[in-house]
Order: sequence, then C-alpha cells, then structure tokens
Amino acid sequence: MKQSGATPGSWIPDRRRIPALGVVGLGIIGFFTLVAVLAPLLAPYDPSARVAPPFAAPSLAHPLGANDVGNDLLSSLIFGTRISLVVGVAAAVAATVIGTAVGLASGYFGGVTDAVLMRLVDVALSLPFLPLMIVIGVFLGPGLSTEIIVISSVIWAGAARELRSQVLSVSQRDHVRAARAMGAGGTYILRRHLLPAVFPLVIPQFVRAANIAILLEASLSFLGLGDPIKQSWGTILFYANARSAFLTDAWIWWVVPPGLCIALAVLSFAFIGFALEERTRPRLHALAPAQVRRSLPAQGPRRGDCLLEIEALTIEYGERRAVDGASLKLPRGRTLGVVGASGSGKSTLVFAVMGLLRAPARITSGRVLLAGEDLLGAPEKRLRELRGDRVALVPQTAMNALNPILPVANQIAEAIRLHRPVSRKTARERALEMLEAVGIPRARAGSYPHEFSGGMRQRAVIAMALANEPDLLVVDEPTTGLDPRIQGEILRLLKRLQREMNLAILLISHDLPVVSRTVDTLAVMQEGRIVEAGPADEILSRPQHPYTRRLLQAARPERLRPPLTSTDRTPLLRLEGVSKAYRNAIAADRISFEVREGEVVGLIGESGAGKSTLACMILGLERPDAGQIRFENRVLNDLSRRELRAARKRLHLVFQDPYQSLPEHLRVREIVSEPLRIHGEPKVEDRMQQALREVDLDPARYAERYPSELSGGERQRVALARAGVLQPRLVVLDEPTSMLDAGLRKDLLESLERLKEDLGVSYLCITHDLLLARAFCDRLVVLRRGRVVERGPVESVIRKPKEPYTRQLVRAGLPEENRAT
Amino acid sequence: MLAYIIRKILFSIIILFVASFVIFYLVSLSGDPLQELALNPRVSQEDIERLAATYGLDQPVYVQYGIWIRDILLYGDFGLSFKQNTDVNSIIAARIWPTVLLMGSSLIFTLAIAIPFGIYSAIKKYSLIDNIGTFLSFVGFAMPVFFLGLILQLVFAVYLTEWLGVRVFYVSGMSSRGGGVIDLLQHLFLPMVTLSVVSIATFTRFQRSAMLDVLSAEYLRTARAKGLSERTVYLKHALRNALIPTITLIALSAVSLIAGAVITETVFSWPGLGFLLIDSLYKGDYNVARALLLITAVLTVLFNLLADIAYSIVDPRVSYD
Repeated sequence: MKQSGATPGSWIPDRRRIPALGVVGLGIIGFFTLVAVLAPLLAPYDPSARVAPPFAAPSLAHPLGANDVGNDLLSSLIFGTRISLVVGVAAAVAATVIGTAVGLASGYFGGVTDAVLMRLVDVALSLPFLPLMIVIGVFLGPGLSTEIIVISSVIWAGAARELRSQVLSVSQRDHVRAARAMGAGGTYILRRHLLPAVFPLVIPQFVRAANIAILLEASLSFLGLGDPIKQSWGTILFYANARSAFLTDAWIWWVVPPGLCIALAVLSFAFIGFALEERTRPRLHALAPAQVRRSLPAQGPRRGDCLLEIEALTIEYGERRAVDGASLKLPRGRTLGVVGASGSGKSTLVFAVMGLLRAPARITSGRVLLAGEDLLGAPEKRLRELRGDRVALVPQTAMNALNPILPVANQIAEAIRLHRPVSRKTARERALEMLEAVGIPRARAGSYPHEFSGGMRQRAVIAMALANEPDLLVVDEPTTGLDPRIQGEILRLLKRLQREMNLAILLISHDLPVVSRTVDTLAVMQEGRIVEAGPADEILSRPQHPYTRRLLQAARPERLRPPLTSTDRTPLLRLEGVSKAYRNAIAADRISFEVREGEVVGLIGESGAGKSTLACMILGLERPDAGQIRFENRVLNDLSRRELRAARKRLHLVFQDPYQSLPEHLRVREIVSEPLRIHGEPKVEDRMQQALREVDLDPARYAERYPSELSGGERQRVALARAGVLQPRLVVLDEPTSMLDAGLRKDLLESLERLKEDLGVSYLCITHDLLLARAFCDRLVVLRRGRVVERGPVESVIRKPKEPYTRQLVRAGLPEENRAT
Repeated sequence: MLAYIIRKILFSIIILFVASFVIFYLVSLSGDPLQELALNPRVSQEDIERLAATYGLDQPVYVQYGIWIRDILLYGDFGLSFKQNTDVNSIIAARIWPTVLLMGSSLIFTLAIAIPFGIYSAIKKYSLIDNIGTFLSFVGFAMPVFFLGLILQLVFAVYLTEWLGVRVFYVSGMSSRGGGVIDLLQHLFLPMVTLSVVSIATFTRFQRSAMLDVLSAEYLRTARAKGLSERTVYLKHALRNALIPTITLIALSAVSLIAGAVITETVFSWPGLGFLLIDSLYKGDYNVARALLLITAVLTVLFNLLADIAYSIVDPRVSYD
C-alpha cells in the first residue's frame, strides 16, 4: 500500500516539516555558538568580579541582577555558554571518535579484535558509569578536562556498539562481497564501501552524543565537579543551589536562565538529531485504519449468478489510478487468475475484495458484489463478519503472515472462534484437523511460526484461511519466494481443497506459467486495466492483446542459439572432489564438474542444495575443506595473493539480488568502472561506457544515476555490465532471475547472450529457474544436498531425466514439459 | 535454555569481578583514609602505622582487594567506615528502603504513563495528542533532572503552599516526625516525578516506535483478514509483540535510573543510597563509597541478566545458542 499523506493540522513530524525542525535546532545552536565565541565582547562585566551589591535586582546596568557575592549574572550566563558548549562538543567529539574507531575496528577485523573490543564495550555498558565516573572526577579534581574525560568515557561505548553492527551488516552485503570477489583489497573496501556507508550514521551519533554531553556536563557541574572559576551553566546552578538562592527572590534570574539555556541547547541538538534520523531512515507510515471514502451510494443486494462480481471498479491513490474500470466474474467452485507485472494494480484489487483498502485509497466508481451483496457499501461490522468467514485471504508473504509469538494452532483456533460459537476445545480440535488437511502433523501444531519452513508456513496460512470453509479464497502471489517443487505442492494442495470444499479461488500472480496450470479463467492486467480476459487455455494458445503476448514470451523465453554439443573444448573451470562443511551441515560433498570455453553450464537444484556455497568457493570468498578448484588450469587455493588478484580479472560474479549487490552510495558510472579501478586498468571511461552499451543501457542516460533510480531489471543489467567490463572469461551467475518479475527473464537473457557473443565469456549459471536453464544453458549439473546427482546436455536432462529428484524438479519447474511426456 | 541462562550468569559473574576490582582500585586512588589522621598533631606516626597494619592498609592494593572481596563474599561484610566509626552494613541498611521506594515508585509511575501513551500515539499517529506527546517528550529529554527538581520544588512546595495556605508537598527528606502513609506520599511525590520525567519521555518514544514497527507488520493484515476487530488486532496481536522490546528497555533503564536517583536524592535531600554515595565520596568515606558502587554494579548486571532471561521467555524466536 502506498504511503499516506500528511494529516491536515499536524504540526510536528510531517516529513516535509522535519527539516524545518532541524533548521530551528541549527539556528539555536548557531546562536549559542556565536554567543560563546563573542563572549568577551558581549559580556558587560568580568563574571568573577564583584560589580554590584549582593542580590541586586535586575536593572539597566545588570539586566539579570547579581548573585550573593555581587557577580553580574548576565555576564556569568554569557561566559557559561562558552564553557558548556566547549565541554559538551569536546566530549561529544572525543566519544564519537573513540566509538567510531572501536566500532570500525571491531566490525572490520572481526575475530579476536572484535571479541576483545566487544567484551570491553559490554563491561562499559553494564557498569554504573555515572557514579563510577564521579569517583574518577573526585580523584582527578574538579575541572573542565575532568568533565570531558568523564563524559566521553560514559558515552563512547553505545556509539561503538551501534557502529559495529552497522559495519557488520554492510560488510555482509553483496556489494562488498562483490568488490572482494573482484579482487579489491582491505583498504579499498574500507575506503570505498564501508566508510561511505557508515559515515551517515556518525553524524547523528555525534549529535546525540552532544545532546547527552551537555546534559551530563550540567549534572556533573551540579554535583560540584565543574571548574569553580570557569563556570558553566551547570556550575551556576550548583552555586545557586549550594548558596540557597531559594531563600531569596533572586532565583528567578539566578536559576531559571541557565536552566532554560541547558534545556534549549539540548532540545536543539535533539531536533537536529531527529531531523537527521528521519531523513536517513524514513519509516513507512503506519496503516491508519481510516475508512475508505466512497463517492458512490451503497446499493441494495442484487441476485447474481456469480459468487464474485466486480463491475467497472476504479480505485485511485491521489492522482494515480491503481485500478481503472476493472470488471471480473468468478462463479462458485472455479478459479480466476489475475496476472500482471508488479504495479499493475493486482494487490489493490485484492484489498478491495477483502474490504481492507485503507486511506488514502479512494473508490471512485464501480461495485464489488459477493453473492449479490455489495461489499463496498457494506458497513465495517458486516465486512468483519464476512472476512475470514465467507471470504478468506492467503496473503502474499507467508513468511511474515503469522504472528511470531503465538503458536500456529492458536492462531487458527482464533479465526474459528471468531465466526463460530464453539468452545475453545472444539476450535482447537478443528484447527488440528485443518492443519492435518494441509499436511502438517498434529504434533507440530503447537509450534511457533519460526519453527516452520517456508512451505509449511504457507500451508499453515492456507489452513487458517480455510478454517471456516469460506466461499471465496483470495490467494495473493502464493508462490513468491518458494522453490518450484514447493510451489507445485502448494498449488496442488489448493486444487485439492478447492474440489473438497467447492471453493472459488481468486489467484493473483506475476508468474504467468505458474498461474496458467491452476486457473479456469484468466484476466491480464496492465496499469490498472484488464486488457484481456477469458478461458485460460484460449488465452494461452491464442493471446489477443500485445501485452499478453509479451508476457507469455517473456515468461517462456525461447532459446536464442542452439545448445553446444562439442566436447573437445578446453576446460576453463574444473572442480575436483570439492567438499565443504559448516558446523553440522554438509554444503558440498565431493563435487566435480567442469565449465569449458564458451559454454554455459547450469547448476540446478532447490534451495539448500549447496549452490551458493559453491559459487562463493569458486570466487575465492570461501575455501573448500577438501578438493581442488582449477581455473585456467591453475589451482585457485594454491595461488598467491597477487596471482589470485590477477585471476579475478578473468573471473566474475553476478549476485542474486540486484537490490543488494549494488552500492547505493555510488553512481552507475562508478559502480561499473569499479573493477577497472581495482585492477588499475587504463581507459576507464571508454570501457565503462562500452560495458553499459553491451547490456543495452545508454551511458548518456544511465551513467550518472544512482541505483535507487533504477528498476530491478535495470539494476541487474548494471550488475551484468560491472561483471563484463573487464572482459572476463568466466562469469558466475547466482540466481540471476530470482528477484525479477517473470516478464524480465527475456530481457536479461538477451543481454547475457549478447555479452557472450561479443566477449566470448563462459557462464556458470546457478539457478532453480528451469525456464531460464532450458533457454540458456548448454549442459546441466543437478545438485542435491551438496551432491551431484545427475549431469548431461540440457535437452536430455530435461527430456529424459534419469534420477527421480531431477524428474521432480522438471515437473515442478516446467509444467508444459510434463504435459508433453 | 537452562544452559543459555547459566552461560549468561557466568558471564555476569566475570563482569562483576572485573567491575569490583575497578571500583576498589579507583576509590583507593582517590585518597587515603588515614590521611586526615596524619594531619592531626595529637596522633603519632606510630599510631597511624599501627592502624594501617590493623586494617591492612599497608598491604598492596590487590591484597587489600582480596581481603575486601573475601569478607563480602564469605561474611557479607563491607568493612568499616572510618568517618562514622560504624560498620558499613548498618549505614547502608538504613538507606536502602528510601531508594527502593523512590526507584520502584518511579518505575511504576513511568510505565503506567508511558506504555498506554506510547501505544495510543502509534495508533493515532500524527493526531493532535500524538504531536503534543512528541513535543513533551522532547522537552522531557532536554530538561536536566536537577533543574526540573528545583523548579518543581519552587512551584509545588513554595508557591502552592503560599497560595493554599497548607503544605501539600514537601521538598526535603522522607518523612515528618510521626507521619503516616499520607505524609510519606507527600514527601515522595515530587522526587518521584522528578526522577520519572526523563524515563517517561524515553519510554513513550520507544513504545511508540516499537508499536509503529509492529503496526506495519504483515501478520496484522492477516489478523484483519480473519475478521478481527481493530480493537482485538491492536490489543491481542500488536500489543504483545510491541511490548517485547520494552522489557529490555526496562532493564537497561535501571542504569539511567540509578544515575538519576543520585541527582534527585541530592536535590531533595532524600535519605537514600544516591545521596549517601555523593556524601561519602566528598567526605572521603571510602568503604561506604566502595560498597555503594559495588551494589550499583550488581544491580545493573542483575537487571541486564533479567532482561535477557525475560526476553527469552517472552519471545519464542530467541534461540539459546
């Protein structure tokens, strides 16, 4: 759902006004700084000179009066500004520098350094620091340097811990691993990747440190640790309290001004910090349960022959039409698939059917009828009765669709008791039955969601949705993030339950092939409009609309060249008995295969088969426990550091997730030319542009952009350009299509082929996407639980798989293939 | 899970040993308990040496530490106060109750206000009340504890008393002679509020953002899709998840509460441990200071430990390795 706009009348955290808040903070701090710098000019008197009668009331000569010994209070306040700011800022700088250094060292070096430093931080954080520091303060004697030492040693540890976790998460990110795989050294990574990513955090940290430092300074001074001569705001208050300012009327001008100054300074730092934080880490707006504004009057029930009828529905978010005049029909017991790329309005449609649309969505026309009853006009109470009872939802991301702190069975029982007047026990019994029906044994019913695998969670969510035997089940992207084999199981499960319960299913997906085997009728959506609808078979065999045709072609990419069959080419990469084990799991078990010159080898298998570990070992990011990896006939693990670096010029990697593998703080130009710079190659600019053109990205349009300005497909092509810029001989592709819409497969395939043709690279393509494997690879190696179970030319592995496991994979990934045999 | 807790406890004990030595050593650095006697012309050099030998003060620091920690562990004996000529234990025993009362009531007061308010603010995000709350939190953060204490003293004790002609709140000490529960509350109220303001601000902001994180979670959409009312969605599904991080914060805030108590007790002359700590440090009552610092360290580590254990009980996702 889109972000909601600002509520009229709100006056603080509206994102547009946050910078204003920061500006106010900066302004006040600026003012204080000016006062501090110009103190000798601004202050009318020497703050420690007796210039007035004791407790003199404010007058023209002494605007804030005088204290008990006749010091001018305004002058004290002005000089106090100087001392407070100097101590606060100096302590904050010291704490930030120490914290940053420790955090960086700990996160970057890891290992023993990390362990030692973090234990130190642990001890520092679990000590009662303020009292302890007072002891040190007493030992060192009151004074400004005492205060600075004390304050900075109280706050450095928090900063260190936060930065460390940031450094750790950045160095785990794919773009840093990519740089390492390209042969970048430690200092290069620190300079180009870690520091830029961590630096934005250092500034808010400094602001927060300054905020705390000024408060602590005041507290310490108030406890008598301040310098008795160089008085800060806190010291003024200390003397006011010690000398019983309260017994006189002088407190108004003695106590209040320094107190307010402290509060104001701290508040300003807090404002700046808040503005910075909201800018660097914008939170998604909460889903405010505001009612959807309807421009149509509610209409009475109407008898229809269909269970679900959507008539000319239009939904707008502000100016944008998410759904534009869509009409759909779904009879009882049938399945309707709605297919389209992301952003086509499918999800909005789901929310409309569920009555879960939230502001600022507006329904401007149309109706949604369920068994003749108008859902859009129904009051919320009626919608709640229907939801989960007559209409149920299987939401998109099953991974996160269950409440993590409640046992699964309880969540299902809750759904039952909500709509049926049954006892706790009956509801629980029914929940267990439902779980059994979807293939989860009773013994596992008390488990928490995180104890389930992705497929089991998806099943549990289906069990929950079906617990009340609804008439209509809305299934939103049921297969995203699941293995093809699990995908197949889930879809078969839905089919079976549909027959048993006479369910109508509305299936939403971007994956045309997946949907096509499950649905009776199909509707293709593009930019909010339904461009084509009808029986699934008809649309699949005779697509009318050009968009449908494009979707079909893209999803089922054709081979662009015949597979290589000759076997006499020189081997480029050769694995011999490679094994690797983590703690208890074996990731690779005596794996042997080779990739020859100009060949594309597909490494297939479901997740957990050990494919990614293998990729890391080939690129030298991990070392095998046993066996050899030979590249260009030299054993990679025997190479010296220098030789390895040289080898990495000819060996590259494209990561799975283009949203992670590109550094967000660099422009496309810098990203693509990074390998050239790491290896000190000449003609950086020309080669960068050439590499971009190679993947169909116009350098004039794309070179200056940041990754955040690119789509997923464009990002993946930038990653490809980066891999190709050094004209490597082998590129390892790690699940290159898994994060892309099905429709983008074809585009990526074309870029890959072109690169192969122009540069003569070979590919090792790790994937569970058999459509891609069939259209792209020459030979396949099938991996299961770290072992090679089958290998051979692509056609024979797919047409005539020998192993049952391969057969399962093919059946799940290539349904048409299955139909043919 | 048991192994997890045992490992946590062992680690806490190691930290405490490190901390106790640091404390002992730092306090030794800050002065010599017999220094004042040495300036007294009526005490001879031999007397001082004899005293030093009696109390082991002529030994190296680590030996002194060994004796000190042994007495604490074996006999629960924190040693003697040279200033007050009594044992430290009885001095501290007299001061524990006021501090427990002050910190405990402040924590309850804080949670009672901050949790409901933080949750409400998250649900009614950017409403007038949320915005006022945000602003007040900022002010609460920015207000130095002692300044707030001084202002509250003036407004509630001095001016309110003048205006009403009757004393409602007291600004100093813990109870009047022969006062009952009402009298105690009259004394407790202002220090408790003073100590609570910062933590109320912290907790409200924290609870608000924890709740906001949960409100955008996918499982709330599932809960709504079941047909649950907004009320049930919030109170059953969202609230329980949103309270988990707060548990940790409660324990971690113990540290800042202790620091706050030192200042609050000083401002209000509250006869608790914080006041005693400052007093003993300035007067050079070394064994009292050591005992108090050690107690604070134990409390801090204990609260951290409790947070970890509570977390692992409340959140099923925590793994124990």
